[in-house]
This record gives sequence, structure tokens and C-alpha cells, in this order.
Amino acid sequence: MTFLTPNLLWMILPFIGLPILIHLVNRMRYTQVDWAAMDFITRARSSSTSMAKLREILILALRALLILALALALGRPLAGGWLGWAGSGSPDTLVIILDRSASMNGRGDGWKNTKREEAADSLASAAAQLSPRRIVLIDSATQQSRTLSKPEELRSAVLYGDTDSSCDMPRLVEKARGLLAEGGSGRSELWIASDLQASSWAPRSEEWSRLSAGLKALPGAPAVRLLALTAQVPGNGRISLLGAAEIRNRGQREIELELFIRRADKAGTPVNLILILDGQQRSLAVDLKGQEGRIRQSLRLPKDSPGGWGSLSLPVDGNPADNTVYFAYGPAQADSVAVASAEPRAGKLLGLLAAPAPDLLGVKAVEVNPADPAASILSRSSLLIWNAPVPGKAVAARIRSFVEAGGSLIVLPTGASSSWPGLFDWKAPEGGQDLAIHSWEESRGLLAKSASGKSLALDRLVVRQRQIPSGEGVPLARFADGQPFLLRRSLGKGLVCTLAAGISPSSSELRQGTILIPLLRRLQLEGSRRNSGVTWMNCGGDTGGLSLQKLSANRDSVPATSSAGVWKHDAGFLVASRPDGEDEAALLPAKEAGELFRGLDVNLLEAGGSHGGSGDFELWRLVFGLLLALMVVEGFLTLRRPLSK
Amino acid sequence: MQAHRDFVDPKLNARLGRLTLEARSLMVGSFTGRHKSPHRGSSVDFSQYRKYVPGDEIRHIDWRVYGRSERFYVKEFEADTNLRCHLVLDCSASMRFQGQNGRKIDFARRLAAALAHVLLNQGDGVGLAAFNDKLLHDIPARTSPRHLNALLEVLGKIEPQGKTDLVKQLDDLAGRVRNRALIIIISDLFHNVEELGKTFSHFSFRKHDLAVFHIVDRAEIDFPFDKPTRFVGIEGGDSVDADPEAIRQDYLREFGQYLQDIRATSLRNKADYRLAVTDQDLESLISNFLLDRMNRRG
Repeated sequence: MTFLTPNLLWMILPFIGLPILIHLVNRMRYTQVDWAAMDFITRARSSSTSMAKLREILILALRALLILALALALGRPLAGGWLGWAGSGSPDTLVIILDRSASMNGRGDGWKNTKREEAADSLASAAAQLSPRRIVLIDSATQQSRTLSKPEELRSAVLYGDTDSSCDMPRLVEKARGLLAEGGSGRSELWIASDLQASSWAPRSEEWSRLSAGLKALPGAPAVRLLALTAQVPGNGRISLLGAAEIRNRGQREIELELFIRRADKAGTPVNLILILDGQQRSLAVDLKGQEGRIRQSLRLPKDSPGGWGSLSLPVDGNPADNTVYFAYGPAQADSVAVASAEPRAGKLLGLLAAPAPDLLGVKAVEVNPADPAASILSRSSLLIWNAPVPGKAVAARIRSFVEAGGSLIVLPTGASSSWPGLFDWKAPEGGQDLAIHSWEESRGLLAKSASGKSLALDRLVVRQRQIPSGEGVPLARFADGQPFLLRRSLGKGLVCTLAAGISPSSSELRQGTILIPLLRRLQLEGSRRNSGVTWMNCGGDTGGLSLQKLSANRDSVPATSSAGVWKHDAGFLVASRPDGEDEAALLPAKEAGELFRGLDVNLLEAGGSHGGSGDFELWRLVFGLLLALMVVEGFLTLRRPLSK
Repeated sequence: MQAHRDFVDPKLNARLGRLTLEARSLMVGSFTGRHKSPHRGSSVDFSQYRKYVPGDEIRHIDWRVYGRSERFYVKEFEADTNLRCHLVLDCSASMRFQGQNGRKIDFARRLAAALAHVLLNQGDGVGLAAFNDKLLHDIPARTSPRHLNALLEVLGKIEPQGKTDLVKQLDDLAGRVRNRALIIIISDLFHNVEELGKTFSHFSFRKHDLAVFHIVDRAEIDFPFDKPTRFVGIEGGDSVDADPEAIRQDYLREFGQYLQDIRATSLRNKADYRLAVTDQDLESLISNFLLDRMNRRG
């Protein structure tokens, strides 16, 4: 049980023995009377002593209970909820981490409020009850801290409303640790309200052991109270935008959206989406096999449009935050793929693989000189295929600028051990009996399944010789021995990837195109965004000081781009999307979340839909009632004696 | 040594001077007095005729009766004699109890002195027996007015102490006083009521006129204590710590029953019972006592 003012409780509690002490002192202070009629005293005493003693003990017990009840009432006990079982009083410094990520917009079964609203309400109520001297809020959307003048500010829908942003919990906890360290030696607490989405908490991160040790090392290690809003969101469908690219389809300008849809209703019928494109709204029925899956949806764009935006929405359900995706497109323009190859024949082949149907797809391949790739060509290209030795510093810098500006780069090994500073290193070629690709990431990204759900035939790719790449990057495909086949890394606004095999027959059968054609196409589409006039970012990301004008009519948040939507700026459009991680359904079990704060006093409450408040309630009314009842009984027993006179 | 005589109230004595103490039964005295005697005497009040027997004085023969009946009858007249009163004063330590109106013994002393004054004033003999568990003072009954000084001197010297043995002392007294007499017991009567009854019947058997002044303090009746109190037995024994609030009800019941029993026992044994509460007006107590007796005599 928690007491809001434990000091008063401890101050008064010793007085619980006061009635007994007074009684004993009174007994010692007998008035002495010389008495003649002793027989009558003795007889009266023997007949009334047992009852009198019982009543005396009862009165003493009642008086002791009265003081106990008074102490309890002044201690302001809490019970029944999050704070009710923590057993501590008001902290000097209270640091609150409020998860405002997109997944917190969901509602549990029968909930009136969203998880974020529930969390804010619970935190505000609990903080108001504890009345700490200082309350600092760390907002997951901005990752900024702010001192609250009063707990009720947490309920501000303007400042701390729903967002579509992500939540980097380790980073927020690190920030909290810093704030608590600044707080000095007073008693402090760290409160976290989150739905424990695994992607937000990154429980396998090695950061956690460092963070918990850091918190523990603080003077007066803070108590951690974790409000876990892990309630399932029933009947929640979602739609995610995995990719968007402007393409030419038989000369027709289209935007191709790669979507993931999980429907809330039963499968078997087309999913009815609401499409808004350039201000026009219409319904769009898409076929979805099963309850969820990836689909590609092409939307025809006006031929001469200078650019526009649109959205696709699912019907309203338990979490409206994941029901809509936004996209935008820029003015029509030709796209090209630059191929830099030391071998002309290989260059031509790569050009064919990257742009197999220039007229239909609107993409053409352009060969560039590896020794001096023309900047003008690069500026018009969305993808650079590098099949040549590692360039010199000047060329490498030019290529880096191309990537950082949003272009895509794929580097193929050339048959010798080499190193591209700042990107990758390649080991010397090595052969082997079993160089099959064993695993790859096919849920999304460059090696994702096709729109029809077919996997890329990486497992059937023949690799005769490999050059293991190393360096910063995420392996998207691996050999059986775990060595990477494809490494991908982001660089500025663009991306770079490299393979462990070249296209020469002695190296692999990549030249057949079953892998390279979709891979290069996806790289080209990624890179094409660079020149599309559309800036894609995750909600809550850095807008670089752009002057933004909101186009989409969804909710406003603080900061503005913490909610998904489309904005217009001087250089085109800005599309802020819900981060991929927010669509992951995996939740961290509350117990495991508590174990991340190993060595600290962790108090955990899994909110199962309290519908407002933390579930804590002050017991003072109850205690006050008890106090009155005790006084009445004590009064009855005390007054009964004179009445009998 | 001259004992103090603060307990003598001359004004009270003067006011009581108009009243007389009448015996309720025949008295046997040494002198002629105002009380009827069982013996025949020479008073003016005719008593009876009886047959002459040899030895009777011839002058007592009623010749008028002889003239009518030719038989010798002797005419007898009632004898009036004086009264011997024995004031029996309980001097045990319990009489030392002091309430708001003073000690019980002081009240008893004033009562005894006033009664002695009334009795001596009407020519009756007054004696005094003061005792606790043994006889402390035993002054025989005398009629001389000077005898009052001796009585008052003893009364002034009395200081209650020791335990009481009321029944034994009263029984001894009943056996010691041979002639009919007025016995006035002044005591708080803290004794077994049944045994007291037997003692009272002893006096009755001896044809004594028994009067009982039951000295009780108001505090003993009302039990006005409210704080925890240590009751220390005046006559010794263990003290008792008690919460008066807790025991009041039972005490009052016990004490009330005791007073009822004493009164009933006294009446049953023809004793003239008077409850003398120490806050009571002594004059009214005594005058009521005297007037009741006068009225009874007719």
C-alpha cells in the first residue's frame, strides 16, 4: 500500500500506544480513599470486574484503533492500482516517459480511450496524487524533455496527443537517466507508460544492461513504475506502404504502391479501400488472398500533372492510426540507370538487366566511364551500377554525393580483394562446393516476394565463386555458413548495397536475371525518389527546417510531422509515414520489460482497460468512515457508564 | 486531662429540652420516675385487684370491695420508675470514615451527647458502653446530672480504632444488663445482618427497649467516585483498586440491599431503627426519634 504523505503516518503511528499509556498512568494515579464499607466494594468488584475489564480493553483497543485510523487517514493511503502496491511516498523528482507512438492509438476491447489517452490519464492521476516536487516528461515523439507545471498537462491533446511516430525506448530511458542524474540525491522515480511494442523497446539491445546499470548507479536508485498497456486491439486492420515508385506502364504514367494489408473483416471478399488522389475520393476494391498480405497497386497519374498526393484508407477500426497510408508524386520526368563497368559487355548486360523495356517502363540505361562518371548523367539517374574496380577519391566522393542525395548504388565485386573506403571491403575470391544462398529477407525490401507472393529464386542461384563483403550494413541474404551475400546500408537519403558475387560466368549465374532484374528494378525505384520532388520520411523525423504546408486533412500533432500526412514545401512534397516498426504486432511481455531494469525496484501494472485513471484510489474516505465508526462505538461504550448511574 | 467537648451543642440541647424520651416498654428502675414499671407501686394510676394473701399490708385492702363481696382484695397501683439507658457506641476504625460532612464518629458522638442530655434532663439514668472488638469504656447508668460530665468526658476521649466485633460486644452487653433498660446502639453496623438479627433478638428476649441509630455517610450511599480509586480498608486488610464507574451499579445494589436487610431485621426484632446519615440534621433526627416514641406511648 502506498501512502501519499508517509511522513505524517510515521509521525503519528507511535502515538498508537498513547491510550494504553494514559490508562496505565491513570491506574498509577489512583485517588486513595480510606473506606469503611469494604465488603461492598469487594463484592461489587468481583461481580463487575470481568465485564468491566472486557469493556475497558475494548475501549482501549478502540482508542488505539482511532489513532491508527487517524494516522492512516493523514497518511493518505492508496490502494487498488498502479501506485497502490509500491509502498513508497511522494518522490522529489518524477521522470515520465510517455510512449506516443502510433501503436498507442489502439483501443483495447471496450475501451473508450486510446492507449495513449489511458496512459496520459493514469499518469496524470497518479502524479497528482503523489504530488512530486518536479515532474519531467520525456515525449517519445520529440524525444525532448519538458518540465510540467502540473500533472494535468499530460492530458493535453494538443501537446501530447496521438501521433504516428515511433518510440525508441532505450534512447528515452538513456535521456531519463541523464535527467535523474541531474536531479541530485533526492528520491526519484521513473514512470514509463507504453504498450511494450517489441520494435520500440528493442529488448535484445545490449544498451539495456548499460542503462539499468546506469540507473542503479544513480544516488538513491530510482524506482521504476511501468504501466504496460498491452491489451490486444480487437478487430484491427492495417495498411502499410512498403514502397512507392512512379513508373511507366506501356507509356502510361502510374504510381506503383507496394502495400501490406491486414484486413479486420473476414477474408474472401475484396478489401474496400478509400482512395483519395489529387482531391478526388473514390473506393478501390483490391483482392487480398487470406487475412493479410502484400499487394501492388498501380494508380494512373495525370500525364502532365506537376505533382500531387493521395492516400489509401481502410475502414475505421480499433486503431485508426494504421488505417491510412499517404503518398505523393512529382512532375513527370524521364529516369535512367547509370552503369559503370570495366568490361563493356558486362556493362551492356547490366544495362539490359536494369532497363529491360525502356519504352514501357520509362527507364533507360546509360553507360558511364568508371574513371570519370559524368556528374550530369548521375544527376539524372536514380541508380548507379558499379561493376568496376574501386574508384579514386574524387570519383568516390562524387558517387557518395550521388547516394547521399537519394540515389541508389549497387557495387559488384570485380574478382580481387578490394576496399572502398567508407563503404565495403571485399575478400579475395573463394570457391566452394556449397555456395547456395541459404536465407534472405523476403518480407520486405530489396529481396521481398513479388506482388503475386512468389519468392525470388535465390536458393536456386548458382554461385561458383564468392567475395565476402564486409562493412557497415544489414545482410539481406546469407550463405549457408552465415556469410553475407547481400549487404545493404543507408547513406544519406540513398542506399548502397553490394553482392558477394559478380555477373561473370566464373562467379555466378546472376547474369540470368532472375535475381538481378527485380533487385535492380527495386533499387532504381528507390533511387527514383531522389528526383521525384517527393521527400519520404518517417513520422517524427527531421524535416530539415522546411517550410511546410499541410495538404492531407488528418489530425494535427505536435510536432506536425509526428502524424502521418502530406505536406507541400518549396521543392515539392513531404510524405511522413508511420515507421515500419509501428506495424509490428509483437509485444514484449511485461515481465520481460520489467527484467530490463534489473537491479532496480520495478513496479509493474498491466492496464487491462481501466477506462480512465490508474485504478488507484485514495482510501481516505474509507479510513475516515472507519474513524467515525470507531468514535461512535467508543463514545457509546464510554457514555454507557454514566447513563447506568 | 480535660477532653474537648466541641460535639456538645448547647443550643441543640436547649431545643430538645422540651421533649422527653419515652420508653416503649416497662422499665425497672431504682427510683421513681416517669416510666412505667412492671412492679406495683404507689402511683395514682390504678392497676388491678388481687386476693389478699397473708403478709400483705392491711392498709392496702380495699374495704369497699370487702363490703360488697365480703372477700379481701388488695388494690394495686402501677409503679412509675426511672429509665436506665445504655448508650452503646461503636468505636471501631470504620467509624473514623470521613465524608464531606465529617467523620461518622463525630456525628455519633454528638448524637450520644444529645441523647444523654435529654435522658439525664428527665431524671433517667444514662450509661455508656464504647467498644470496638473489645469493651473500651463501660460507664454504668446513673441519674445524677453531674454524671453528664463523666459521659461527655469519655465521649470526647473516644478515638475510633481497631476492628469491630459488634455482635460479641452487644451479646455481652445484653447479658450484663439485667434489668429492663433502653439500649441505644450507635454504630455503622458493618456486620453480618443475620448475626445482628440474632443479637437484636437477644435484647428483645431480655425485654430491653432497643433503639438502633445506623450511622451511614452520604458517600457510602451515593458512591460519588468517578476516577480510578484505591479503596483502603479503614479497619485494615487489603486495599482494592477499582474503577468506580465500573462497579458503581453493583455497589449501589449491594449497599441498598444491605440497608433494607438491616431495617427489616431491626423491625422484626422490635428495634427502633433509625438511619442516621451524616449529612442529616441532627436535631430533626433526634426530635423525630423522641416524638415518635412519645406518640407511641399516647
